[in-house]
Amino acid sequence: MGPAFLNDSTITVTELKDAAALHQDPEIACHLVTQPVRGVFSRRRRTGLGMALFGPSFRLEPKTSPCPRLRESLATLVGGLDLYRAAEETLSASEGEGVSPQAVAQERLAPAKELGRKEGLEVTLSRLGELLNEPETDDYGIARPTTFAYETAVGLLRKAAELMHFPFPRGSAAVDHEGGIGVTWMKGDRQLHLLVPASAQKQCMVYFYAGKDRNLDPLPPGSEAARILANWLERLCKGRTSGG
Amino acid sequence: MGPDRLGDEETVYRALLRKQWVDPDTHTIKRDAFMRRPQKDDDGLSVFRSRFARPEEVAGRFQRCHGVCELKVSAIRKLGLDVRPTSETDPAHAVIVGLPTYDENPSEALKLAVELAKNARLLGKLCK
Repeated sequence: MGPAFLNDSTITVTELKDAAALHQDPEIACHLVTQPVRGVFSRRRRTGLGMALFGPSFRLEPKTSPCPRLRESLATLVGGLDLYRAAEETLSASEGEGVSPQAVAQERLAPAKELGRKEGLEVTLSRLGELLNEPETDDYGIARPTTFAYETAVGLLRKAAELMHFPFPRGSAAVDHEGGIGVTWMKGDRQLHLLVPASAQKQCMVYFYAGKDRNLDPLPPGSEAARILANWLERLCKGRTSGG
Repeated sequence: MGPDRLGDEETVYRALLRKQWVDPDTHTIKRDAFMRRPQKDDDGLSVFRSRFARPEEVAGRFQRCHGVCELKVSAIRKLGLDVRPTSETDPAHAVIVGLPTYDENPSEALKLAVELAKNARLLGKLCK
């Protein structure tokens, strides 16, 4: 077990990375791995896990979220390692049945994969929900989002998450002076802004900013809006700055 | 004679009236803090000159203030904007001029708001 176990199976390492989709977002990886591992697993085991997730450069860092959902996700991931090994053993005991260990591992890791992909969505939706607790007005203007803005934003985010191949990134939400909602995603020098107006009289927009590379994209009504948002979110995650 | 012009070396404070204007993950200022409103910000986006007011005094001018950020006047001018004092009776108050509202020019309003936010430095929470 430990590093040797992980080094034995490159495919397992790949599957584990994929399960958490951590290779796309090192920050989320940190959240997933550090504190829960310390608390729950032995040093030998977490060293192995670290190698699986980050390669030789992995190191444990104290910054983390004590979120139970993340701990659960991590536990499932680590369970996935054992499951994969079990899958290999099962296969060797019944060779020729046409089921690859990768397929078995993939199936068993599916819940963890889903959990890792949606963590950013849940955080973003939670932050949107917090806006409803704001007072109606403050020094700046209307402080609570309109029902239209809130429901439109939630619907767009959920649909976009379903269409994305990447894990949904964490976004933060704010209310504009009219009761519309802005959702912001930041990745290094790149930013994506979803602007949802207070009423249907105005159009939803997506604004992408990466220094001199900027794009303002109106979102048409209907399901096309979620697809466009999903595309921009994937571009943000991939690091590509060009539109189209 | 009107109030004196701000020097490039000066800094100004912007009150963060909403906690959502600070990104909870990166703790950086978001562009929401620099969106000019159509009527309330008729003469420009309100800021306060550090020569005349401390961050606590800026926060104290509002019912709810979640923090104060600082910007260099030179950085604002590099964006093609300007900072001007508003009256002799309130020498601390100034406005950033040249920002369009979102309705006037969404692309430019967003770009400039992002750029201003990138140049802003969070001074710390001053919750009331």
